[in-house]
Amino acid sequence: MTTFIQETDSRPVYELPTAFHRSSEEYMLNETVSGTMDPNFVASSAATGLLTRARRFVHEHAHISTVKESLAVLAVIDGAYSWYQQAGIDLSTIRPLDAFAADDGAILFEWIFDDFRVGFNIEPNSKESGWYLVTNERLGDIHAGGLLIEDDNRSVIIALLHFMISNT
Amino acid sequence: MLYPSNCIKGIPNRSYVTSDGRDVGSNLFYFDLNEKFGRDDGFVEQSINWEDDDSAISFTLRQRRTDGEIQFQGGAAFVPRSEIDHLVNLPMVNGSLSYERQRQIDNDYHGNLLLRSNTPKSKMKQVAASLALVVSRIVPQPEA
Repeated sequence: MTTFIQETDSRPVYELPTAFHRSSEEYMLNETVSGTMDPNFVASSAATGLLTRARRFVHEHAHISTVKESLAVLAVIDGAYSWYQQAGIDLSTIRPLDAFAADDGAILFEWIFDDFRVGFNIEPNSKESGWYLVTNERLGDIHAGGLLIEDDNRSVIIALLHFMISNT
Repeated sequence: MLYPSNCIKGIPNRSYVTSDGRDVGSNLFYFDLNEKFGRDDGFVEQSINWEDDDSAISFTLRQRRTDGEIQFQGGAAFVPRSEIDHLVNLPMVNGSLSYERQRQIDNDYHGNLLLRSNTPKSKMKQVAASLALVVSRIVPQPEA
């Protein structure tokens, strides 16, 4: 039987690969109210709801030409969330990712904050898909952007998450 | 030419608005860069209304399409002109964004946001995101 931690907010928790495994005798975590997060286990970021809305939107609204790339980008974002969670970084200030269907057939994912926006536009022509970060004057009027390159988006998404965490 | 403090961007439907009603997606401010929509002066346009008086918002929310349905079922978003002016002067926008009045027979408030038609699509979407970022408030359609 696999040992797991059940927290009262009911986030499912999954065991890390055996490389990180420590003796289960060191922990007596059988509480439903409080306890210490066991580093051998990490909450699935997908279960926090930050990407649920966006995933559902893709399945319900995305044109067939954008579904695969949209889900691939969401998977990279999910992995980046997990990376930060494993590092113990608080992601509670990050809003859920919003999703919109543009008239030009693209899917737009956006994190919307008072002082900045981070967006990913998934185009029917994948060569045109990109990301951007725009901020208001308070954060320096940043206008940054680039292309989304298949199999090579993780570093830019981690950097964008870092910006969001630092400025929320 | 004198312009008021705000322009009003009609929201076609609720799909442009976040679930909490506080924000709009940047796609609300997308420009259509298709050549056939380009003007002779090198710009493409998207319609707005200017908030010239207290009636402008109610006028906007009452506007109807040719089929008789309410045109802006998602309500309307206010964009301060001072914020647009700030954007226009940013080096990365570099004058590619502008605005104008364009009164119509049935709409004295009508105007346009303008973007250079040779703006790359990626830059267009950044400009749209910057406009969405400075939306100061959203007014929903009154409930029937």
